[in-house]
Amino acid sequence: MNPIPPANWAQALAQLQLQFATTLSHAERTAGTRPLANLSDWLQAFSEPADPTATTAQAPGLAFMANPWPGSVSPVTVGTDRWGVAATRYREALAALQQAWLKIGIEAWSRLHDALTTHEAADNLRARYDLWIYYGEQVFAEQAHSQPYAGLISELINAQVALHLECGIGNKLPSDDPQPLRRALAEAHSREASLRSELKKLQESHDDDSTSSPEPAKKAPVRPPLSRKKPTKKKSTKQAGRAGVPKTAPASTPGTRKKTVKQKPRAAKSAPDGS
Amino acid sequence: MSHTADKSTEALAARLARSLAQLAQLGVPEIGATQHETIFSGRGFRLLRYGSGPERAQACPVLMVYALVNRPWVLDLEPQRSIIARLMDAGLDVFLVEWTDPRQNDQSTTLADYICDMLDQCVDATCAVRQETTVNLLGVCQGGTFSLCYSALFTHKVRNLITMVTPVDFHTEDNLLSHWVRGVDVERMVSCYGNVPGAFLNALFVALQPFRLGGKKALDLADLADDHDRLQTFARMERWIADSPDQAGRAFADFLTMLFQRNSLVKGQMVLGGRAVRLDDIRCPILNVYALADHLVPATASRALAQHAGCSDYTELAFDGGHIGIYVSRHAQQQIPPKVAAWLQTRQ
Repeated sequence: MNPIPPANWAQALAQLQLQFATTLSHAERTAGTRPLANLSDWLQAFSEPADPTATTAQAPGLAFMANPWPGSVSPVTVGTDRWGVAATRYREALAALQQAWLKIGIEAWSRLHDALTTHEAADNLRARYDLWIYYGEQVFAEQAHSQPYAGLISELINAQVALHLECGIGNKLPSDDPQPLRRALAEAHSREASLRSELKKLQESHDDDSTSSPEPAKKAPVRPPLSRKKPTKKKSTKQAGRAGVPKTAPASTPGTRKKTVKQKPRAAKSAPDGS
Repeated sequence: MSHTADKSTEALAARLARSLAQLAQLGVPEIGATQHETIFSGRGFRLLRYGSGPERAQACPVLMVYALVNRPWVLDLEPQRSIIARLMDAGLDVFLVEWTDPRQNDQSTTLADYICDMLDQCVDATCAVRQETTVNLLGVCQGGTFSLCYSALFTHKVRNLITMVTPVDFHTEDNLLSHWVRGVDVERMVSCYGNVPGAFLNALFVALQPFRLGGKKALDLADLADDHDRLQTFARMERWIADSPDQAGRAFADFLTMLFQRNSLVKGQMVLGGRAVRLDDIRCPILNVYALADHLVPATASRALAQHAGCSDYTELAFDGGHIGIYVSRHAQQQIPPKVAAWLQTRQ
């Protein structure tokens, strides 16, 4: 005997999802932390099962990929010319995948409906929910193993990477190629030379004014002029300090420097365990 | 909507709310139950040894090699769910290679660096501690693939090899992950991110079973209300699942292209550090443990080893469960470690 009229079980599942989403959202707010990874995203993604057309608006399980803007970076901070094409490709890839999820959602819902109306139905809401999960996984497995679906996933990943590359998002270290750095240094040196020249002129002009003045000017603290004297010596001293020479030990102490400058991972191989 | 449905829904939601409230009170759960010490470390790895006391020296040693993805703590989740503790109970002296998080300047670390250098250092260190010339290797998941490559390249250093839920043939029909990533432009990905974000891998793993890992897990949580121990276990599992380390870019690209995309290992086309990796070079005894309901590494992907390994002493051990269940389920705790230990001890 089915305690829930057939017309209402879909609504009951929908209400269940809604209540879970509300409960989880409330728990997250009150606890201050997310107790589950991406759980709300999932519930949101598969919410409102009574309306299959609305089930997969979000990107279930692919939240990282579905949000192409990590952290606080937003598309409005990036010039449209640079990322427009990549953004379009990404949107199209995501839309295509969402369409596939929509089909999976509809088919899962259809199989659940058939099972509940033609076979002996599960007699409580929990059992129905489990059945919906079962058919969902079943349909998903069928689709996910297909070549077109695999193509949609890889295209979404590739499109996101392309978008990030266009926008300069990522953690990649600067290239080993020093050309851009050299150009930037050359420009900086050129600017420095120009400023030095200007400074020198101003100082000379100031000195001329001072000597021609009838009253001695109040002595201002003189900033030492920017100098390039002995840059290499200063640099090498700094590097030696960075290399890890202990402050208490003189750099020339035999053995000390060798021990601290470079750790040799294989050195402990002969007796890695003291016991 | 009927009154019955309303009440049923409300009751479930109330139980879930209670579970979540209790879960929030637990705080961050501790993982890693068994006593251990770091006996050796280098750039990119730490070598741990479990237990204490001189009796370890009498036990049969085993060096466990875990995957780069996720943390090895799932092997030692809590006292009652610890493959490591059960292996020790069964009389083994357990060592574990723990890969450390790649730093920004580790982007160019290669797969060969991990296998031919870091793992080799751990093997040598274990041999030194045990005053032996060979080791028993136990590779888990991706760590199993590492162990296979290592055993093929350093045949003189491996006495026995155990692979657990290890992918060997990456192109079996039922390997969903392999289907998905074959079209990914890995080089471009690495050129963008440097080290590949762990969050990316996490999302991909969850996407393999969206309904089960999303919807069902949420509802099952409602059943844990007022059960402190099971909530603790749930929290530990969630912590482990969410904690995916970033992947050193070059090594990630090597693994994906060589194995997931080209399936080089079973084709005999894999090259590491300029040396060809041939599975038929492995002559030591092999125990291949796989899970029949593994959605990440299908049993077929693991069982392919039988056709490619060059050893005459090859044994299989099937577990009726999934990829995670083989580490943490009570059934696995009772079944796997004693059989692994017995297999090893008869071949010492």
